[in-house]
Amino acid sequence: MEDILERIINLALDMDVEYADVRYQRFSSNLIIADNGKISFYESNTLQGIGLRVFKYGGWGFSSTTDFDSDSIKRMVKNAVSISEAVGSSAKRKRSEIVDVKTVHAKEKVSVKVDPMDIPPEEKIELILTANKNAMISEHIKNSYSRLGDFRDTRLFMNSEGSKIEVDVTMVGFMQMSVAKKNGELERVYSNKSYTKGFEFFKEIDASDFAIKISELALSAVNTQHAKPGEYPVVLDPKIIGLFVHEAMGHATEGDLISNNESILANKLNKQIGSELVTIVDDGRIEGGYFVPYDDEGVKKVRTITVENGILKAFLTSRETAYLLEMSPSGNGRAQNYENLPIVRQTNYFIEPRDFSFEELIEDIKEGYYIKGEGAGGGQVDVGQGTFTFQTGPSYIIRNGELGEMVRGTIISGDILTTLKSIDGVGKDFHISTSIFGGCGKQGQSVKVGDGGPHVRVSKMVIGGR
Amino acid sequence: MIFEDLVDKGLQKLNTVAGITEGELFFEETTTWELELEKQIESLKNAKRIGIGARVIVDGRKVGFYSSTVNTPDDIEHIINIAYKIAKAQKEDPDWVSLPKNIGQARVEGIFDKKLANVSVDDLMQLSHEYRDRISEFKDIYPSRSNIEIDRCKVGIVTTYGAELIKEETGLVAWLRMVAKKGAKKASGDEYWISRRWDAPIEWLIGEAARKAVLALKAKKIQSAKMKVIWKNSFATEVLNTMLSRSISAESVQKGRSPLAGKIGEKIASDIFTIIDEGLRKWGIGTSPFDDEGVPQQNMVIFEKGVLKNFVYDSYTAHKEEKESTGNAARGYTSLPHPAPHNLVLKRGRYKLETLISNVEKGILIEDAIGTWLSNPISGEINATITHGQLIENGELTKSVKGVIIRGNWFDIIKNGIEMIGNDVRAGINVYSPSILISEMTIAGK
Repeated sequence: MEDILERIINLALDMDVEYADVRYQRFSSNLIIADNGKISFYESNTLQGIGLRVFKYGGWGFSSTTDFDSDSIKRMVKNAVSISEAVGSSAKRKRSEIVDVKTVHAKEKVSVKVDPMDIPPEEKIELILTANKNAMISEHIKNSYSRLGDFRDTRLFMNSEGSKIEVDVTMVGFMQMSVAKKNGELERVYSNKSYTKGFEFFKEIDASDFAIKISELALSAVNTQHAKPGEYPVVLDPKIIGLFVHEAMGHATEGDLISNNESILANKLNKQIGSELVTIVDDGRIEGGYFVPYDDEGVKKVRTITVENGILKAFLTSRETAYLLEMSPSGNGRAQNYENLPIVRQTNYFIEPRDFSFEELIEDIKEGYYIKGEGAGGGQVDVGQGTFTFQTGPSYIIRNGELGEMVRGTIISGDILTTLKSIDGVGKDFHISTSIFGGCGKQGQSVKVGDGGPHVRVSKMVIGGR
Repeated sequence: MIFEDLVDKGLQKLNTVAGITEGELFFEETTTWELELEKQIESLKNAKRIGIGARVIVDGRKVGFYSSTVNTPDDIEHIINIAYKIAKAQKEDPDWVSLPKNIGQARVEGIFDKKLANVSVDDLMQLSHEYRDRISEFKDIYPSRSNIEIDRCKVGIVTTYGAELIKEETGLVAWLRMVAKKGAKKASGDEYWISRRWDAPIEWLIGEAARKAVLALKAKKIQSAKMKVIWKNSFATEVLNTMLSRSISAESVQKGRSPLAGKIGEKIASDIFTIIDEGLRKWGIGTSPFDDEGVPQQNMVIFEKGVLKNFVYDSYTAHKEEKESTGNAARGYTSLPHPAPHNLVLKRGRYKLETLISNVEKGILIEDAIGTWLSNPISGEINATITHGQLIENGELTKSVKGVIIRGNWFDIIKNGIEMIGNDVRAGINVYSPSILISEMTIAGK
């Protein structure tokens, strides 16, 4: 494949482009769904293609193909170049507007003991069916729904500056949704465990145990009360903190939203935007998260500290936004696949731990809530206005410094910057998670991300119930 | 790779695989141009993708499916083999009968536009220049991210029953957003165009989006009340799609997820309500000589004068009821087929939109809303937040309205609530609809 990519770069250079990068990708994935003891879905797919990006006369051109015969490859190069010429004549940019980066030769790989592609379909079906059936722990579990997913994503990047980078990621995961019905009330709880490693993951975690735990959670939540709406001190668990920093903070630090002035954080660089306890990081290689050692522009993903002790320090950038923001490229130019142009995306976004124990976080709270992300999640953020609303999983009342009863159907909402300033306790624990079953969507592209942090206390947060 | 040769090769390979009961290959070749515009051209992308979905049945009733892009013709054999392995691992499906055998083509007009199929970089640049010139005519109204996508798509289907079908289609989707500003206040307006031809009316799209943006800038909430509403054609297509597309699918009916289950032959709506799934509509977005299993498409009545007549079937759901497929299988190469309507068309009335408006003493004309898709097709509860609406007083449009929620029950509305149907049919997603005057809905405002 390297030969073909090199030939493509040379074909483009022969047509007088100022810069070219070419991306090959092979992505193989499997998704199996079991619903109430039966396999309802088994999809297996391979996507393999090449995408070429060129810069000429001040314009970008992009073309891609799955057809690897030489005529098709030539047509792809011709299309990319003629697009760049036409675009350049209409919307001129300078070559210097793409920040220079070091030439890189690298090969990075997630360590895999058992390649999921080598596991026979029979074994996967057996695994998911067993877990799915085991999760039917009571007559009150009305629906047990499980997903088993795996993929292998191999990406090869080469550019006209001489870089050559291969990144090979394998990922597996299991998801369980259980619906409990009791005394006329319904509770739906779901959660997933995903990891960037091989099928050995299912030796380390027992899918059945996990599925049973979700059913138990649904059963114990189904007849509990709802939270009393109001403003309270809360402690957020790493899952909900992950959702919060990714959705509410992460997107607001994306360089393109800053340069377009669409984010509340534009014009706030080097200003105190949160409590001194808050340090926020975007890191492409961290235990538990997704693996992004290099982005899709051939830039090494550095550990980006966006907020340090409450002060906004940096934004996430691609090579172009780095120029616009006068920053160094942070390696956040990511594309969903070879068919898409890289845009500024997060990798793994989290709050750094400090020194509070969980007990210390809750001991001063007279009346409040311990908000957990496990079991639900999802919400909406308006990055322009700085507001957020999230749905949470089954959570707990905190009364006089101790955990009380479980509550369900809780919604938290607030203003991003006010919330960041109201953080008055950060735990010493730390947990990052990612998911094979979802991704983060932006401008029609979905990429895998991770998020998390420690337990965090917020002095005031709006809680909505029913 | 020549698509037609690839399909031929697929048929040969399929017939030589040992040990399969039945097999089907679904080929798709898509060439896409995607133009992104803002103040000027943002990006232009071109992509060509060839993929195969292989459905293989072994041991009578075990169904396996695998899909992949095709990088060289030699990939076909490998793709069939993986589908075979997956099929072998499956449990038997007691409802499986066979792949469809009623393969063939209907006569259709208007699925392929030469100009669109051969669109060049120059054509697209000219379009973006026209766009740039038009938007510069506005003051205090700015373009936001807009998108034009053009597809040329070839589909081939071969089965072990000897079927070999090929078709070629074109399509265009344009979506545009303008933002109006006044001081610190901002509001946006969207407009779209879906077609099979090179006919995107850029001037109209920009004009409409700008008009809506200005309307929204001036818009206010109104007091809560019950009143008449007009679903403008664009909004009507959205409601019809949410309420009907899934409910009339045999899959939903069989799984107990349709409120229409068991109601064939019943009068559910008023006489004015006739809906046909026009699989053969001239230049229709969902028009095609055959569906995604190779069964001929047709025009089929869904509601006739308020009476529910038919559901849409693919071969699997049809065989479950010992019927024949209605030619409504839908899919891309990466997934198995499912039943879905092609072009749901609400029969037009006689009236212009202006006439509908002049018949309203007090009400709202709804142009656009958000959250319509969150309405519940099972209970029929319609719930949407109006983003672009206009108050009608004594037959005239008076003020613009936004931020109010409309509520009403779909089943009550189609039975007793449709007062007039317009003649201004418009294409939406899966649906063609004119504007509709509804006697009463609840407005939750101030």
